Amino acid sequence: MRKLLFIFALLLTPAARGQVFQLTGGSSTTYNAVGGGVTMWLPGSATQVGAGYADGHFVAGASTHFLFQGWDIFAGDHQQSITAGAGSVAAPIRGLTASKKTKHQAFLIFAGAAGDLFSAPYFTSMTTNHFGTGYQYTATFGGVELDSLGAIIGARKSELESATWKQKHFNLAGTTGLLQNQFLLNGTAGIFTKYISLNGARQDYIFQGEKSTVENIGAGFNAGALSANASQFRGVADGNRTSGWTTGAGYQLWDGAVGLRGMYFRSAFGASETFSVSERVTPRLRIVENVTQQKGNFTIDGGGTYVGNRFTATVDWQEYFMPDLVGRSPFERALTASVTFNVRNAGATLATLLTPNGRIKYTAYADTYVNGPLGGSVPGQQAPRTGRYTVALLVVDPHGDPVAGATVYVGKELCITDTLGTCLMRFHSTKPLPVLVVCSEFGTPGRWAASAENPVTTAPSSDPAYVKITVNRQ
Amino acid sequence: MKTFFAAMALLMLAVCSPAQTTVTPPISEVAGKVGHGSFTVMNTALAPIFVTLEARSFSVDKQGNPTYRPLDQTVHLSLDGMSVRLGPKQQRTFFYTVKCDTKPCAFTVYNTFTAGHTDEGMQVAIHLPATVYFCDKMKDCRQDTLMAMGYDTRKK
Repeated sequence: MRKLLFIFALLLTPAARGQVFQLTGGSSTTYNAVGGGVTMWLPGSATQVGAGYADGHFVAGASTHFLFQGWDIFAGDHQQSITAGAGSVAAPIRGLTASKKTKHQAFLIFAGAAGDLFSAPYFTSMTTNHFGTGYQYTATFGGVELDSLGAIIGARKSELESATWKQKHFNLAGTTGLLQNQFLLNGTAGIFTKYISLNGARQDYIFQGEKSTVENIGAGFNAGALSANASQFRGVADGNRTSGWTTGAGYQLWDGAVGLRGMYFRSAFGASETFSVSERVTPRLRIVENVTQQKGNFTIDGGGTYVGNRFTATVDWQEYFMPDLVGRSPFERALTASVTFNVRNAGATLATLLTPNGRIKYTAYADTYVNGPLGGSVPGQQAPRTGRYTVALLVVDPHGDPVAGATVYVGKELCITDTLGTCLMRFHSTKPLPVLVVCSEFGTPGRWAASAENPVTTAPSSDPAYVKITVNRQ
Repeated sequence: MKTFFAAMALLMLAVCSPAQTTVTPPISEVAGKVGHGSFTVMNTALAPIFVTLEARSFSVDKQGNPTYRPLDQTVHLSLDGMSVRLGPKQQRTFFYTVKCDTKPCAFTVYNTFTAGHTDEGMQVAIHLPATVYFCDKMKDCRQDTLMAMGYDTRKK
């Protein structure tokens, strides 16, 4: 018993060292849900627990993911999505999913209670109402992949056979069989050269027992700065037929600093054109202006992307082909906007979606990482610094040799020295800042102590001399 | 005794497993009078890590093998940071501005990842490069730069 306890304690040590929790929480009118979750990252496994209110009902879920004797195992709630060639089966399962891969074969089985999985960026949960089980077998040889998958989810049966042939310049995929008790025939084909691509596809979509079909053919041309594309769509949903085609071209000026793009959309309900200009204002900021013409009405809108370490923001317009729309153009335009903030270990995201009918939906969520009780402190990401004034440090031992991996705080910011013993930090003002050498966090092995003669403050300047710091290995 | 050694072996493997880190993109091409670009370092592991950046110039022999040296005086590189401490699953994007007295030019920013402090023993560091090729025109920038160094990529 003692031996077992000893071995358990030994194995627990790295587990405690790597013990990290991700806490998330949020609210959304897009998902119509509010809730939160915890993900526990341990060496060898990841466990997730989530709960909240979705569509006015309390829902909860949990899952764990680990490897066992070469098998990849999910236990608990898992959205099992099996893709075979040009077809796929989605099976939310509360039970066990096991998969194994070898060089030329892959095998997957799952079984458990099936139902509806709710998944938002901030929590995952599930409601179950019937039994589900299924399998997938994949074999590959010489660029050909053969798939067989079967699933029974409640009263709905799926049995799909698929073949995919991929070569350097073309691919071909076909899938046929039953999907949720309905016949399915999907296929895609594509030819790719350095400048030209041609593709065609037929896709049956089955959602909650309703079937819709979309067929499209397309061609693309890409020669560096110049690109062009054209596609034709035909769709059938609930017995209604609709069709449309689109074409467009783009050109990049000054190595992508300015981009021009024009798109033309045509359906039985009229035509629309969109012309876009995008400019790279700075390496972090790109803005886009759009002019859209539909039935003689001109609309001007815009968007852009800012990518930074403190926050990232995106405003974008997307054009969707929606075969379900009856009596109107199947092309719909929707606005999406999102802002993500990062502060230390925490991140927060606010995303909005302006739907084609003019309603605004939003999603707001935040997450943070914390260490477990045995894992010690988790240092967060230091805030990125910009500015015209700098502090340059040189950390050496008493012989004058550089010390790499030395950690020095200048004000509230941490600086870590490189192999030359130097590091550089940027600041916005020349205000003097305290200097603190943190020997306990040095990346270089050993017990270190800072010399009492080291400077206790330093002031950033536009032309800094190296601030010399001496440390002793004890 | 066998179980003890098995447990010790498991423990060693767990403790000594290398930190999972990534740098994207590993190769960039930038063009213009002043080059602007960025690369992102990511800690995909569960333990915090230190990342330090060191820029180096390099030359390439006829077989394509690089030799690194301190950054040339003719390359004027400005990074918005030289080090960072990343928590679990965190990432940091470093933005840079570069000017070269003669173009095409190239340099590599070596990202050195180290994890934690140890009083005794050995520190394991992972060095992952982000290489930047800087030319007047974007087209065939990498190929032209390597050609100028004496390595013809088309003869591979």
